[in-house]
Amino acid sequence: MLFNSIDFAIFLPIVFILYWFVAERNIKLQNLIVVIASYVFYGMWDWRFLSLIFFSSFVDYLVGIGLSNKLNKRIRKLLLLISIFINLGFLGVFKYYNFFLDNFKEAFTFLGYSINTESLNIILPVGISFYTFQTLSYSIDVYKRKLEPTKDILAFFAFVSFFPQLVAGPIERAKNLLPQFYKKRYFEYNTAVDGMRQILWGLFKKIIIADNCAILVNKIFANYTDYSGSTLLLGLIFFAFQIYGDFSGYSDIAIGTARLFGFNLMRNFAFPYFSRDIAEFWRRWHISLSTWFRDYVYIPLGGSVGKTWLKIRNVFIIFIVSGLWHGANWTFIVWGLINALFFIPLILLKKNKKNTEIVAEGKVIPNFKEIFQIAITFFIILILWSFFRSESIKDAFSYLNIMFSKTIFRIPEVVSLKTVIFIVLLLLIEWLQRNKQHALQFDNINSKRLVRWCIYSVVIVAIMIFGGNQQQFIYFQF
Amino acid sequence: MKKFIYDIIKFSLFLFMTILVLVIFSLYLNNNIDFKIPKHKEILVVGDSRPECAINDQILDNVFNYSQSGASYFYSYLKIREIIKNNSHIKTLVLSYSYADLSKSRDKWYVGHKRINNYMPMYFPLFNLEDFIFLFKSNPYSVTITMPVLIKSIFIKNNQSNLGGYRHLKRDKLKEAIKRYKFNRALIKNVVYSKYQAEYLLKIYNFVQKKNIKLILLSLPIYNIPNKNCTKYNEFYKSFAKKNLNKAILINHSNFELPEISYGDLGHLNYKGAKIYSKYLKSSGILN
Repeated sequence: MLFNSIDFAIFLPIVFILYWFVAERNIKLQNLIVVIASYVFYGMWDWRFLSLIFFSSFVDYLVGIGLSNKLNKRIRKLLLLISIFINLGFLGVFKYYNFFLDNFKEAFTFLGYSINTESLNIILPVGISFYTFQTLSYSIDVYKRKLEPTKDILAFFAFVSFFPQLVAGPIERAKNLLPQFYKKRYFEYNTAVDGMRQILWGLFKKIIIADNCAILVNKIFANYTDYSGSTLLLGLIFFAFQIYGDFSGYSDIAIGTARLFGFNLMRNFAFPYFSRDIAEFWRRWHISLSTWFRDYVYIPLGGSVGKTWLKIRNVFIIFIVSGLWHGANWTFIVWGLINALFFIPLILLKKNKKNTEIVAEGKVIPNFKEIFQIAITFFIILILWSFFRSESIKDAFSYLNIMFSKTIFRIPEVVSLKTVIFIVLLLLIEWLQRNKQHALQFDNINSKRLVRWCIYSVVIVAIMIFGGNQQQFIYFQF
Repeated sequence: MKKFIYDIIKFSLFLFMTILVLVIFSLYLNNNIDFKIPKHKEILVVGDSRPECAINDQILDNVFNYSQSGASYFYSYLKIREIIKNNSHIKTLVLSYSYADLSKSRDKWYVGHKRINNYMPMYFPLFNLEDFIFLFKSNPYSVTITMPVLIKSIFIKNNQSNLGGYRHLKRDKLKEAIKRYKFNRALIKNVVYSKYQAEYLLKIYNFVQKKNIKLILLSLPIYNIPNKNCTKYNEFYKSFAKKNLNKAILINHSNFELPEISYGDLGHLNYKGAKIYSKYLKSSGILN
């Protein structure tokens, strides 16, 4: 079930009414409704996937119970390894099996041996990378005694399958989300209203920005050899906004929906295209994944402490793993690798935490230095997106090769004025609201209801008129 | 909670009113589709993809082809009603039929979600309340979820050329189509008719009768491939027409002989076929 579908528009009010009116005074019943609703939501893609999420939840629940007993270190470690093995095993089979098999085959063929293996015809279960990481965070935190294991199976199942963030995040930490299922939820008017605003802004980004950009991006990337460098540059810019609108739009809808049910999810995007360096970009883009890797991979490896080569190794590992998380393709690995190359100088010069505050805070217009930094960072990100979007590394290099030819000075062949206007509008609104959680957070006009309602109506009507054709969210494939 | 629900309802009403005002305003400004046809074009051709591809109205001086792929008799009726209202000089209506047009299988041309999603927004400016209720009753779910598409189409100016015209089909896939054709299809026992098609065929008939317009029901050339069911369907259509449309002229050109290069596929003429066939119609004066 897609957030931008009529099905969801019917599903959400039904669950909302059941949750607040039928099960208002009973946490267990509310959690049960969350689990049932989440399984219905997920099962509508393919009911067979439900067995995976059920099994994964059940194993981690038992591992948690096991870890709560006073066991010796070895058994505790074994239990953690079982959780990691099963969760990453699912990922390995469903997401990476064919990729590794094909690469082994090619490597052996290169060495003059031939191995006879068959690729599997596997469908990638939607959102597997998201809920696997979420449930893994529980096992690791319980193992490290950072979190008390839960004995409430319903709360745990609700935590793993919570439908707003099940298929594309934010990847919640057990420490943040699980305790929310133990406590009584109270309906708060202001939180719910702001949740609705965030949903609306998410829909705007998805339907108007991402879906319209998708049409142009698909056209340009499918026939990139036929276009001039300027068109290819434009293709990358459109893709940058497509993926941002798509993924941050999904996150906004997820966070807003969760708020309607009295839950607070972590922020996933913080206006990343206003970043002044690549380190700041990664603090603002897909925050829940970056911090997951930071907490469970980077810091256990030693982080930015220790010898220089260890720091470099750790950065490479985290970015390559992050690339691989996005998909079983060399393009994602190279994308991660190049990110690491841009990141390492900042780590070595200890400038990776230089830009932590909001850009041009308190000012309407940034200074020239900030504009220059933002532009350079955005340009680097564009180059990186070419690897992310291309079918193969060869295609990515070929795309960049044509883009940086003399034809970059020609007038682009593919332009959509409507899409460009909406991108400018998005940037303008997000710039003005960059100190807020989302762009439709209007604290200062709370009293002027008519103004707010007119703004919401304009956004809704714009979505109805200018929305692109319904497209699946990009990050579902990850 | 009460305040939240109350506010949601109030905002929904506010939004509904805003959209309604905008829709009315847009309908007034944008959707006056121009159906004016040149005075010398006295014969109107309406139907689905077969006449759309077969009748070249540049060859036939007095003919105006307003056919459209996949248009059922319901959408054809809406178009005929509007065109004739705007063009009192139309003397003859040529409505295409193919052998299976009255069979149950055509119901999906009305109730199928894709059809409603594509055609309802396109034809909405021609709807009256009765037409809308008819479609809503046939598939309430699809009509409801097509509303956002419909509203979008109202805001974006409709163009009458979207609703039909001669199609210069360059397709040349007859041999592939013959290869794919299933020769051993089961023989049907009884033809079950499509109540929707029959209802709107009768409406078209009654409408043109009232306006004193001659109605020709024309079955267009198709590639002659053995199909035992075809005869049965044709007989069914013929008997329906004889019983209910006694003043209409039935012309069956489904066996009209044309060279193989004339066919785009089994059921459609390509532009070469359209040229030969239209020249024949012109010289024979059969439509006059």
